[in-house]
Amino acid sequence: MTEDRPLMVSVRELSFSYRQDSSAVVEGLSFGAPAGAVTALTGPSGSGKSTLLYLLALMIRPTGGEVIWDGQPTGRLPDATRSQMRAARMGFVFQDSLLDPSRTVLANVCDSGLFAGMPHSVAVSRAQQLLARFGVQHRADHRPGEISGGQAQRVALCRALLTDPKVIFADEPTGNLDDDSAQVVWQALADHADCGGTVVLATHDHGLAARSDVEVRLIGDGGVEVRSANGHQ
Amino acid sequence: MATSDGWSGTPQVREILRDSIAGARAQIAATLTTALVLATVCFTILVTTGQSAATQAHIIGQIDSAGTRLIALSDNDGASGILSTAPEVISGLSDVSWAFGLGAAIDVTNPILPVGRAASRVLVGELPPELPIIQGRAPRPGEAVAGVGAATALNLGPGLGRIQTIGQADSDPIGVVGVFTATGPLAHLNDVVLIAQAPEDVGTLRYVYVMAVNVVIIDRLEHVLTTSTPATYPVAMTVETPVGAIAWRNAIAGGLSAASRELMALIMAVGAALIAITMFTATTSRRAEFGRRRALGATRSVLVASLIAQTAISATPGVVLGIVSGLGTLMIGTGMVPAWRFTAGVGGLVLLLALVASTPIAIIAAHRDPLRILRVP
Ligand SMILES: Nc1ncnc2c1ncn2[C@@H]1O[C@H](COP(=O)(O)OP(=O)(O)O)[C@@H](O)[C@H]1O
Ligand SMILES: [Mg+2]
Repeated sequence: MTEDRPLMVSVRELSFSYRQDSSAVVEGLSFGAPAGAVTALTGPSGSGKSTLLYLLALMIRPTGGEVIWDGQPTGRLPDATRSQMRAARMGFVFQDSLLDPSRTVLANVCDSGLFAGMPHSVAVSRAQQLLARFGVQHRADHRPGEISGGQAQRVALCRALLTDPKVIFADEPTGNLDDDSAQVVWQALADHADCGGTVVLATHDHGLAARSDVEVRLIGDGGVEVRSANGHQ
Repeated sequence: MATSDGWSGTPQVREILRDSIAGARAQIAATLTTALVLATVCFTILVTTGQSAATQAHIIGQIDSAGTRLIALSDNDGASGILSTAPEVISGLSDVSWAFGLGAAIDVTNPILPVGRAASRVLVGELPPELPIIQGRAPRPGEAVAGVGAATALNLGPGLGRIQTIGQADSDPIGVVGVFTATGPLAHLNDVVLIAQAPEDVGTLRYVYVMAVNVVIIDRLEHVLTTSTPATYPVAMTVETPVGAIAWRNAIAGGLSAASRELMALIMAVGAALIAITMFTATTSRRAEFGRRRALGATRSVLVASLIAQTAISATPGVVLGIVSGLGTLMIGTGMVPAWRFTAGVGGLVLLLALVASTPIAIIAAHRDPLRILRVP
């Protein structure tokens, strides 16, 4: 079912190592994340899931191969263009929320809009809608230190969704969450895919992987197993 | 949600500014620290070097008085033949505040009480403010005013009186309508009676006194007077400039400037180091923020611009506070404040230092790998 969907972001013969003398985290990797689907990157801890997300999100440059966005190779793009693509087309949910502790929840959500070029007034009204949708609107004026981990992750999700991005990357988004919060986060990601968006998540949660449309399993030494399912439920 | 690609990925300048203000408020402790350090540096510079700058300006103001600006053209033996139109011509020069001319000395006496005598000279041009009338009024053509010494010597009473050339008892006496007093370089005129005359009624002049508008242009003005004073034989004329006074002024001004410049350089160096340390601390403490923002899609230039804006936002109130408190302290302590240019220069320099100090740190921070802070240990 997923095979006929266009690939939003894909990699071809991708290799990466953090240092020249260290072994490759990924080597000769090829796969694609189709639009309108959730793609799960799975594998044991240290297998390179996060690293692969950073490569896909153009935060680091591969040592070999290509990251392809919308059919366009990105290897030669300057840093500014890669940053602009990140701001305009991607949303990122980090493993530990990664909120600015000095600013309010509302300001944190608006942050992604600033770099995308969104007017502040638009960002604020969108942020308020999103916070309400995820049941954290009453925390809008609180600092991240004053909210729970589950609430922080919902706030991070609001920030990723603010610009209505083509692709959402999520790194262990349910890692430290209770079941209810995990379900809210998963549902938001699945909804984004249902509306035509692309979702790539790194997870070691087998349940989450099973519900994804595509599973890319990192099996060590740069190897990979790809499984396509019939869609998330 | 439908996915859109409607954003440019380039923040608007207005929004960066708004964000920088929000950031300065969110990190109020860092903002206040920066502001306070800059205020202290400004304050210190002002109360130390600002005081000597004010003192220096004060002293120069005193030196730059009439004495250092008066040029005397003289033709002691009448060989040069300075024309009576010279004061009028010279007064017309833009570098000149005033000029008047004096004729040759003729002894006069008081025909009613002819025991005393005094020298008289024809006066061409206005009586200058440096020769204030202290009794009676200023003379019209054909009338005379006496210096205080001459008035006493001629026994001129409160109602004043008349004078007559000695040895010419049949000549017409001239009315004395006022008494003036002279100080400084014109003090010798206290013993002289000045008889006002229209230029066309006078032959040649022996002296022309010229007041320059300021000391700086003295040399230039001396040259102009030497070459273009109307006279029959200009070369026979001597031009006396207050050379000693100028040298004295230059020496003092130069010495004061050098001293305050050294002190200022020292304080600036210490201040710059302090500012650099503050900026370094403020910027490095925000590394996590830079990493997060890079991950969210901030370009390096946006990051640098927003950091510079935030520095300016915290620095400006600090500089203003430092200047206001510094000027206030100087005003209360010494009653003198430095020139506004000096003050503005200090403020601008400190502001510039803060920006210059934080820019390389911002650039380095923007180039740092964003992943470092994304790593969950
Ligand atoms: N900044 C780094 N420098 C060097 N090695 C790193 C760095 N970050 C991660 N690694 C290594 O790369 C490998 C993959 O890490 P990571 O992508 O975080 O895996 P995962 O997310 O699957 O746990 C690990 O062996 C890890 O130690
Ligand atoms: Mg990871």
